[in-house]
Amino acid sequence: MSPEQAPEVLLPEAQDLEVLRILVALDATEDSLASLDLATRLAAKLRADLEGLFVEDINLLRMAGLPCTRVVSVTTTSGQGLDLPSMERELRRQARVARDTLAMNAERFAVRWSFRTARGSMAGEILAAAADADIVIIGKSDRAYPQKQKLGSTARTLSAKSPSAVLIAHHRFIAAEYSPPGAILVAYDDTATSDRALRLAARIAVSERHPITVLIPESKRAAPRLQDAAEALLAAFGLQPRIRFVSRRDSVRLAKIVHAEHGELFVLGCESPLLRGKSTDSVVESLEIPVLLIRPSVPETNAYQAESSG
Amino acid sequence: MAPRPLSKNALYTRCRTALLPFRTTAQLEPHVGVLGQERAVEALHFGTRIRRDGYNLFVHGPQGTGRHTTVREYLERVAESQDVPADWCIFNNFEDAQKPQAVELPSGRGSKLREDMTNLIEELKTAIPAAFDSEDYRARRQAIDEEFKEKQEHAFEELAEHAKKKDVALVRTPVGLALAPMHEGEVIAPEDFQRMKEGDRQRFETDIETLQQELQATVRQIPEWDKERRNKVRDLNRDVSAYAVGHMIEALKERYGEFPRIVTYLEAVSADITDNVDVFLADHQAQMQSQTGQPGMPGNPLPQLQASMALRRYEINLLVDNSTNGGAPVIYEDNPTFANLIGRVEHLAEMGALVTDFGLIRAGALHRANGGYLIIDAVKLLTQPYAYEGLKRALDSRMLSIESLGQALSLVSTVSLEPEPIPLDVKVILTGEPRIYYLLSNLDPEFNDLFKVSVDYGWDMDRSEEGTLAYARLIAGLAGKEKLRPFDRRAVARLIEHSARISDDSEKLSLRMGRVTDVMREADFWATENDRAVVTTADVQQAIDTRIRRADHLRERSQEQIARGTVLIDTDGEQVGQINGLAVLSLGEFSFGRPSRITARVRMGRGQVLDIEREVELGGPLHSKGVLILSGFLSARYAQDRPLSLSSSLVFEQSYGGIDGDSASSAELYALLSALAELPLRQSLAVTGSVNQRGEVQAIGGVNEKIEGFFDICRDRGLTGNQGVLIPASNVKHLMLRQDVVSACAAGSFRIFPVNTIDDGIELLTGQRAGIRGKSGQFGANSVNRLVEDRLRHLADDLREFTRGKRENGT
Repeated sequence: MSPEQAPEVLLPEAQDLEVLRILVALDATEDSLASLDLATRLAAKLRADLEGLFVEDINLLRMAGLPCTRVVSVTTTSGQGLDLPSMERELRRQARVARDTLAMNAERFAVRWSFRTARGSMAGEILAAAADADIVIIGKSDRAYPQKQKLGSTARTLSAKSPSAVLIAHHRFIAAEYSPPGAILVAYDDTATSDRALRLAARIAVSERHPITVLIPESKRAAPRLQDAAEALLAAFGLQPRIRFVSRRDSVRLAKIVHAEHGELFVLGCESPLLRGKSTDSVVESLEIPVLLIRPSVPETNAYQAESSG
Repeated sequence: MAPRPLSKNALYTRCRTALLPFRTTAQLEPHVGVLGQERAVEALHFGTRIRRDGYNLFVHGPQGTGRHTTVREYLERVAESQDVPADWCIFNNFEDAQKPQAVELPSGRGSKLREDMTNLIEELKTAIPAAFDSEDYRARRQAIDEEFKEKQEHAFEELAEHAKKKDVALVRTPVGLALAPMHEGEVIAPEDFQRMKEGDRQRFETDIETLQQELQATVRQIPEWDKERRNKVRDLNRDVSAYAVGHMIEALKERYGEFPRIVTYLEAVSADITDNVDVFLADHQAQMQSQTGQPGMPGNPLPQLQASMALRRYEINLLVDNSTNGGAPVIYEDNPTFANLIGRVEHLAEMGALVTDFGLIRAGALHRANGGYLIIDAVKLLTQPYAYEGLKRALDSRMLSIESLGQALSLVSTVSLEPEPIPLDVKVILTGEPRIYYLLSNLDPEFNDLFKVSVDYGWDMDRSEEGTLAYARLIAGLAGKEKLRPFDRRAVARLIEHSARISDDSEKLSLRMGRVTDVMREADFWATENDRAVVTTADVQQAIDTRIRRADHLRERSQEQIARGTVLIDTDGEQVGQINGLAVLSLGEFSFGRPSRITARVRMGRGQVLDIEREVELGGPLHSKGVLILSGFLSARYAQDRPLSLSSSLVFEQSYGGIDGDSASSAELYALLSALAELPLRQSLAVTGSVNQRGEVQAIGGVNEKIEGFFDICRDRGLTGNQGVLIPASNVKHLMLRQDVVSACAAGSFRIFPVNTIDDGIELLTGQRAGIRGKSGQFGANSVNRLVEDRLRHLADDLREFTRGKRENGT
């Protein structure tokens, strides 16, 4: 698209915006529960089906099978051994809790839902399931220590390899609960994923009248055109965006902007210039709010298989 | 000499229109205040002015005298010029919620304080969330949380690093933090572990055991760190909320600086808000959800409800609001239950349980009347369980403590509110009939100490010239108050005459204004029906007649039974030992007279006068008394020197409903004398009046109804000129007879005889002289008394002979 050309405004109900299926990965972590809440709300907003996937982590089962494994309770500080039947029983219980919570949330928001359990490696099972989903939602952290890196290994794998969009959820800062609905932030540029990001952000914002802020990479030449294009596209949704211009390099500044805009969700294309020169993971790590990464479309059958075979 | 019939003028005392100097009541200055109740007004005046313990009032008088209305109007006039009492506020006791505090404020300030507190809470609902949503707070709060998290994470990270060096993984599992052997970043599979050398496995076990102890030591520190974090958060919240609340509370403290208890209360509010800031935040969050249409918890208003319930504790319960009163309050409690008088604590059903708080405390009539006057109907008070006891206790202690009946009677001991008692300064005015007053006075020792002022309402007033005009002005006042058409002079005169009839006395006017007012209202109705702008005497008469017509169904049936010969009453001819007595039947406000045949039979006996009514328990005590007096009369007059050898029986024929009163005792005596003398009595006459042992005929009640009752029978059968009624002479002043009776008497076709003694009556009834005892000690020959005395002597002789014969025969 040349800078002079006006962007082609697609109607909101364009086919490529259809989100038919959202997959939410569940375990018992705090972020996982935040994921479920976020997933249900998002499914309601996008009128999508919701599928819950509880993965019985093979690592946990392995640990339980080891005679020397010791477990320390955080509440009682008592230490004890671990056995496989107990761990399996506990995982089944957690799966039941996850299913019940999913059912309750889904019914509250009138969302069609399904639930299944898989056993294996977290990342592997989720990636496998992600092939059939439009959006995959996972928690930001995982179980393993050390946690110097705030983004867990599963989230890292998904953000890199998922064939569909990935929403990385994060339990929110408590004071934000008293705030009005936060803004939907979206990065918009010349890339194909950013166009999809903008349309998806618009649909989410429209559903609950969230304010929407469009972050456009600083550029003397392209920025005004992108602004016009974003405003025209959002006008079709009846939205009046706030426009912010962001340095292409400074991910720290990006985090500050997100915070200052009272963002509730950041929608970001994986090809965004804001990610250039640094890893997606570092950007996601720096943000305190859920991030929806729009992956490039994979025309082939299954991205995970493609990655695996490659 | 037998009495002469009464003249027309004695039968009905007309109201002379000359006494009424106006054409209609519209020209008449209405009477203001109470008429004819000077004693009561004096007592009211005294009772309302004296400010001493126990000087409460009991206003008693007959129903319909307007005692309630006049007392209320009087009190309202008095109260207007008196000080408006204080407002009373109930508010939460933050130290002990079970004991809400009561504080008085000058009139009008209570509602202002309530408004101020409501505004304060509304402002804080916005100000506190705003303060907590500020960038500053968020940053400080985040810093605290991060510090805690970092401290915790740091400890675990350190441990994890330490473990990693020993190839041990630290992993969060659903059951806690696990330590497991690992190889190249992955937990070793159990089968691989089994394949390891014994020494390696032993090393792992030793290391893990050591690491477990380190981990336990770290975990033990978490609660302490968390406590530290909570303290920091609490201090931060306090700082932020104190800043948000402080200046608003300070402004209120300045406004209410002259009331130390309010200032103390506001300080307590400030401290409590600071400690419970979450309530405001939760309320704000719930509101935001409903405003922004966030799904939240659809159909579940509980969080918002709980938040708003929690905020209720900062509200003011304005128990008594005197801001709209122009003077001291005058309260009439129509339903004086215990709770309505003393106040009550209401409850709300919440999640299946009953809950309450200071905001659900409700004032009773005593609270509202505090500083003024409370009017209560005594009968209503006494018929409500424990209401009288509650009232007395409050008056006695001069304090108002709100408690449930269950608490007052120690029937329930569940935890409930105990509001601070309120000092009581009220004049209670009980109203009721005199019998209630005298019953309470006699039976309740506390009553006389608490209700020392008796306000006695009379039921009639003198029908003097001044009184008549004043009464006309009262009628004018009532017509104005009831928004009736004006009454013309003759209509007023007729009302006054009717008033005299209601009072059963031609020289009195009834003060039972209820009945007079009813006639006025109905006369106004008939004037409307008759298309008249002014109510005339015809309308008043129509009102009186139609009132009687509506009520006299039983009278008609009674007369019909006599007319058809079912009930035997003779109105002509003569009979021995038989006479027409007269009785009155009362049906509410309507009374009518009915003749009854009384018969007497005599025979030899031992001085007994048998009252058949009493024998079968159809006669009341007064009737029995009257009959026993007859024995006294007979003995004293005829049998002083010999035994009264008589056995007689008296009966009210065809009377099945019981009888009481002694007004037929003269008729019974006439029948007895007739039977003894064997002289027939004229059946064209009917008799009423009681008699004493000296043979004097005494006044009775209902004389007008009795005369009219007999007149109606005679009129139906045809007036002969011989018919009439013997009444006690002392009842002549009570005569206010119907116009048809008066007209018949004027025409000589009916007669009313005033009788002073039995001798007067017996002469009229027998046509023979009664006879007086001559110098010989004997009554005149052929006189009634002589015949009676002779008969009694014969009976005595016969008895003596009979007794002697029996003795000789040995039987």
